[in-house]
Amino acid sequence: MTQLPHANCFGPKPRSTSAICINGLCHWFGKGPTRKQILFSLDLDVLRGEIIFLMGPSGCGKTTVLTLVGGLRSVQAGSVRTLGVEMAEADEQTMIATRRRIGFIYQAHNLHQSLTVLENVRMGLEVHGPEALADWRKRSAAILAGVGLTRWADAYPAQLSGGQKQRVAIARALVARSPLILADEPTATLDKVTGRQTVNLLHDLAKQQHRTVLMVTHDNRILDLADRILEMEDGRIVNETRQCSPRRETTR
Amino acid sequence: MISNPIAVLATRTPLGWRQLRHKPMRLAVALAGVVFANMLIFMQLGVMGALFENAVKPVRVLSADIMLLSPEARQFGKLGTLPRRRLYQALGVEGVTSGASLYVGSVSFRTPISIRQANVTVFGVDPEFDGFVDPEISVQRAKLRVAETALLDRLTRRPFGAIAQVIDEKGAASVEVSGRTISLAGLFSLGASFDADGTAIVSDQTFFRLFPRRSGAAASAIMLKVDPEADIDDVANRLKQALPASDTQVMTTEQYADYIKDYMRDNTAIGFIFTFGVVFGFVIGFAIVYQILSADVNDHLAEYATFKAMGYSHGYLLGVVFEEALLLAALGFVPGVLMSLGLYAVIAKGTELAIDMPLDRAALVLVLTFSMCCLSGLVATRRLKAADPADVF
Ligand SMILES: Nc1ncnc2c1ncn2[C@@H]1O[C@H](COP(=O)(O)OP(=O)(O)OP(=O)(O)O)[C@@H](O)[C@H]1O
Ligand SMILES: [Mg+2]
Repeated sequence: MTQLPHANCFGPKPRSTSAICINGLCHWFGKGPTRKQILFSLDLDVLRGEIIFLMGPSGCGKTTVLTLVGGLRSVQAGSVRTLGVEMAEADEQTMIATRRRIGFIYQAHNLHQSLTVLENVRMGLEVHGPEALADWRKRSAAILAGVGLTRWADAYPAQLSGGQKQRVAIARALVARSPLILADEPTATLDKVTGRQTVNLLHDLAKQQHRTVLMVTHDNRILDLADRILEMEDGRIVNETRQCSPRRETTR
Repeated sequence: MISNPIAVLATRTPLGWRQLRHKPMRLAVALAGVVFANMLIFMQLGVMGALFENAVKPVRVLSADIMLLSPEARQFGKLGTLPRRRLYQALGVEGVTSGASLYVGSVSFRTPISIRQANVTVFGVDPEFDGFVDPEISVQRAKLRVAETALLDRLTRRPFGAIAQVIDEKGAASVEVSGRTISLAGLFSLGASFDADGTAIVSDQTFFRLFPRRSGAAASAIMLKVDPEADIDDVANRLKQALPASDTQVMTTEQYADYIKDYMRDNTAIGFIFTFGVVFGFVIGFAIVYQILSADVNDHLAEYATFKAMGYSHGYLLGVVFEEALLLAALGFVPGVLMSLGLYAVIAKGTELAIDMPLDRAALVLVLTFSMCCLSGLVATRRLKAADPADVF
């Protein structure tokens, strides 16, 4: 493991190559006497196309980082540039516009129960307006084929296994070709084999299409799929491991 | 991103509909609620409308084109009086072709043999008046020239009303009224009201014999017939100019009919009870639909939060809830109307109140149904605030 100096994103070059650029990010939860600092002057620079795993003990602030990067929570102090957009003091519209450019994958699949697999995937396109729906069938079918769920396109989420649901969630997150994927423990509810397969799939799709992935995980068995592994502790990044040649595997 | 809203609507996933369809039991309960509320409202409006229509019937049956009334006049049973000389003044106004004073009183009719009796409203009119709307009355009015003769409402309440059959078969029947024998020489159709079992029409001369204390100078109302070429409203305006407002109101027949309905709705116990019933139906429907919609929002909070995280706006989610509300209104209204028609038939059979379904009432209930559902939706959307995209991770 090598300790690397934090790349600073201020300057001409990183603006175009950084997918995420965090500087001096602090965050607090609670009010008054129960107010507690969760993030302590965090710095992080993620290049476009990089696959980053964020690890660390429970409660160290990983999810908080993801929500701040994703425009799901307002930045309190410091700077977060997501896909070139400053999230500190961004208004609701800017946050919504940024969310649309991000594919989110959650621990729980959060699929819509009353929509079919295909329709759930379509929701990932519909948010971009009618123009994005022009060839939605083709795009949805392609991404479902990518996650190996072609046969299940017309099934409802209730008919799928946990791994299959998570793959639908991945398809939904990827269908709009979002340049950035934020994932929070996508394998937590999956068994060993399925978990590995799922992240493999995510890895391959991301690499093929040059997407950036920031993924929180506790899963030691998939670490070889990351370009870089960040370790957090008590609201700080304490360690960074760069893997020069992450293993490439295909699921197909 | 700015997109053409029509294109957005056209390509939008019908999420509200899908959600409703996904839980058929919940949908059924919600629709039952809307239908129930619809029926309650329709029943109240229907019965109230029928009662009011009954109250207005004498106006429609007798009526000339314009009525002169006392300023205190309310429903037909409470007309008050106005000076008869207003009739002669009115006849001098351009466009008025004929007129007659109308005297209204209430008296007990009894059959001589079986001693059945009925409380009857008596209309006294000049038999020469040619302005009656009801063809049966205008054809038979000549019979009234004979003193102590009357035309009887064939819908007079039974058992006294059974006498109508005798008149039908034998052409006439006799009854005792205030110690006199009155010959019932013909029938017309009006229908019983709240305060009387039936109605009879007599000549003004006969009327004064039955009500010796009533003076011909104080008419209950004055009916005027207007030249068919003339504009009724113009004539009414000229009458208003010519007659003192201190003792005379001028109303067209339609205006008076509307006035009676409005007065009864706003000032009588029946009006209050039925209006309350309508409000009650609305509140019940609101409560049921609200329960259903808020339960639905609650069930989908995680999914809604996910949508927000994906970049869907709060407005989009409001749209989903309102879509559900509008669907419930639309889907509930149709069976609501059909079942209410059935209900009207049942009520009509049980009470002899003829309830119809005028278009404006259906439109009113349609509007009420949509407002009820939208209001429920509006309140239910408050729960949407709980869908926080930061919570989905
Ligand atoms: N909405 C909130 N209000 C108050 N405190 C919160 C809130 N969300 C998180 N916290 C606290 O902030 C700290 C960091 O939370 P966070 O969810 O970022 O941790 P995490 O690293 O993702 O943990 P885990 O691995 O268990 O998911 C925790 O101590 C948590 O209790
Ligand atoms: Mg977490």
